[in-house]
Amino acid sequence: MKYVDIRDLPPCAFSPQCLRLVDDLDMPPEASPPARMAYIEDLQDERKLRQIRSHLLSCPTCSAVLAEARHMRTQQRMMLYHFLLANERQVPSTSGAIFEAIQHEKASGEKNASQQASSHAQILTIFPRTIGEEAPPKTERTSLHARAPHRHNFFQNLLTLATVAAVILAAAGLLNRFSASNRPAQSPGSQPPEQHSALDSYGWNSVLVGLTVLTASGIVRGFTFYTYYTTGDQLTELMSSQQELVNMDMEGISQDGQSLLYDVTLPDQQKTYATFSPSTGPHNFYQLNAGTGGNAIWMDASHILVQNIEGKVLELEAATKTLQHSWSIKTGRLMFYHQPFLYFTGAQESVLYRVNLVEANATPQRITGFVPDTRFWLSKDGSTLFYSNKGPENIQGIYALDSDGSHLRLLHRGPGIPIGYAEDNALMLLAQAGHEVQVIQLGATSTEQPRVVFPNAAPGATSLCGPESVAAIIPLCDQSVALAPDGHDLLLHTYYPDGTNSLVYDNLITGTSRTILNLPDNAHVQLPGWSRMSINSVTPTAPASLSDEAILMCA
Amino acid sequence: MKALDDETQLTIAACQGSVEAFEALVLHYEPRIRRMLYSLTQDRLLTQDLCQETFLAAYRALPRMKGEELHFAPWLYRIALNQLRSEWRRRKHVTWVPFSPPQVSGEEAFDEPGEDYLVGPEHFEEQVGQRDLIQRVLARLPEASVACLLLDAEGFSYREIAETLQDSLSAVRSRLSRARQAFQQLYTKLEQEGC
Repeated sequence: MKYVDIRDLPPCAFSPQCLRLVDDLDMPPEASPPARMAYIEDLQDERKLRQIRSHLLSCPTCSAVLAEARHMRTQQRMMLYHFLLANERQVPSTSGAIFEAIQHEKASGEKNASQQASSHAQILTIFPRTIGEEAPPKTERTSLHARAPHRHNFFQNLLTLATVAAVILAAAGLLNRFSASNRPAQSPGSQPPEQHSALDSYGWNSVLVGLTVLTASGIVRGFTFYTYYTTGDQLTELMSSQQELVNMDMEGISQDGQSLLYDVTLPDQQKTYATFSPSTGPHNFYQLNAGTGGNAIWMDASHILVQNIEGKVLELEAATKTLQHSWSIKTGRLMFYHQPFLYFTGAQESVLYRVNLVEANATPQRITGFVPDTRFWLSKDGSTLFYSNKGPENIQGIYALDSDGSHLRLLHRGPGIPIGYAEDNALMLLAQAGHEVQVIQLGATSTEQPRVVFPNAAPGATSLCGPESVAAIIPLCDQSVALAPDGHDLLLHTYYPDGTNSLVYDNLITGTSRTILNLPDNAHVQLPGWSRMSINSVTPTAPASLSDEAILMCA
Repeated sequence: MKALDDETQLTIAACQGSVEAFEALVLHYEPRIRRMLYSLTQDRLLTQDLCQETFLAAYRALPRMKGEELHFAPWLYRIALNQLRSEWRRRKHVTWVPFSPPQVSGEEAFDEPGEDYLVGPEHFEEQVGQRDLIQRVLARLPEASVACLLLDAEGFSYREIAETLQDSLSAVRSRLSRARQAFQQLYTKLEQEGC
């Protein structure tokens, strides 16, 4: 395109209007006039627009002015859009708190409605209405129509109510039971969500279970997602697919606890990334060739980072299926995102790195030494990393280090695998003690004595990794474990000497353990973590049994 | 602005009391409202508060709205901007917090065996340096002009901006045109000054 300097052209009286109407001029004439004009100046603008359209055909000055205006507009829009996106990452998502507040409002509204209906019923019983008498007013959701209180008061009121409720429940000896559902976000395999307020931690009372069944040829004959509610001892099927697959991976639960991130590789070698929630069902949002598509993790309740193993990290918005950003970073596996840092391993998954995704020149920083065959954990506040391995002095144990890689220290000497965090954010471990698997809570420092929280978490089990077992050693695998975010509840996938395998639920507060599901030999179980998904739209399944579809798949 | 595929249906359902529909709208719009508010305030806590208040206010108001006629995005942004204005009135002033300089990470040696590691030559747009500059430019523009520019960058049409700001199309045209020119002049000036 030939560049024309406006200064070389004669001035034109229409130029200011060209600048002002540049967006309208770029729209087709039939698209620009609004159906209804609210202001007289809008009508005048329409006349000017028609004039300028015809004027432009013969005015090089206005054409040049418009070309420059378009260029400036494009540049500014791009800059400001990136500015907005960068700012979005500066503030943690509030979706979880909004959902909580809405649920609270809904519950209050229903309670008010119920109370009003109840009082009307009482009045009617005492004073039966006579024919022709005006009916009592229809009960409305009064709380929704009420004037919005100041936000601080509103949330303070919620907290006050929660505190009062906790005191009442504690008095009734029910606190332990209730507190099992009053937990912060957690998603093993992805980053622990940030804690913003007590409100955010409410309602994490279900654990997700993914079940795939393998054929002899290695093809997956569909998959089923279940959720187990600890409060109701209820196993519910969320979704089932009988499509033939190469693989299905459950990547993690969103920070707001409402969605599951998973990916499916089909026999045509296409890897599809999807989210699932009971209210919206499965939602495919991105596809890559299976050769290049790696794992994926949640950034926040709506954005996802997908690994392209050819050297890219992609940020996608799931709802709109749009690619938001792309970084040229070669990664082995994406581990956690804790704003603004993405943590990932190198090619052999033995060294942890992090990169600040907000920085203009996103330069990775090495965090750990060479620690093969380990899984890294990031503390809830993003300040500390943990792993189980041998340290620089060849001592087997649990190591902690600051999230920038500094201050490496031995936290606990001896074998064991980290499984998550207690309510006070202390690290929790699984470790073998004789013929039993213990749940241990570590102290904040190596001098504080670890505490056995649950002495026998998997009664009778000989492995948490697979059917094979070694005499006197109980293999422990953290993929077979889902610890609730407050450390009160635990779900384990256990294997027994007779070749059977089961899902076992442990209540670490009451010290009780029960088998919730016996599994077929060819079932592959995934435990992506805990959620606060609502199951209003799905049908409960009886405990300790598989759905008919799953049984068919297993046959 | 690019709306959700089924936004009209979701809006109608939300007006009829469907929490699920409203939650779907929250999922789509919360990040957008959050980034708009943070761009205007540069205050994380205030942004989070206002964001929550915006959606709660919307939730409370929806039962009174006609879902078929409601343009959800302009309406929601209008609520957000009104919440912000109310807050500003309460505070009587606006605090523009300058950005802290980007953290500089030291040169790291990536020499572990087998850790094949590359950072490609391409980098994400030079956001952070520009972000500071853009923030300084916006801080010098009138609030309504900043809102216009940001809504335009979000993909709002003139009509949607007019609906959001409750102004005429003509006023939006004039304001946006002036804002673009002022933005360009200030940006060039501050960039040359190295601010």
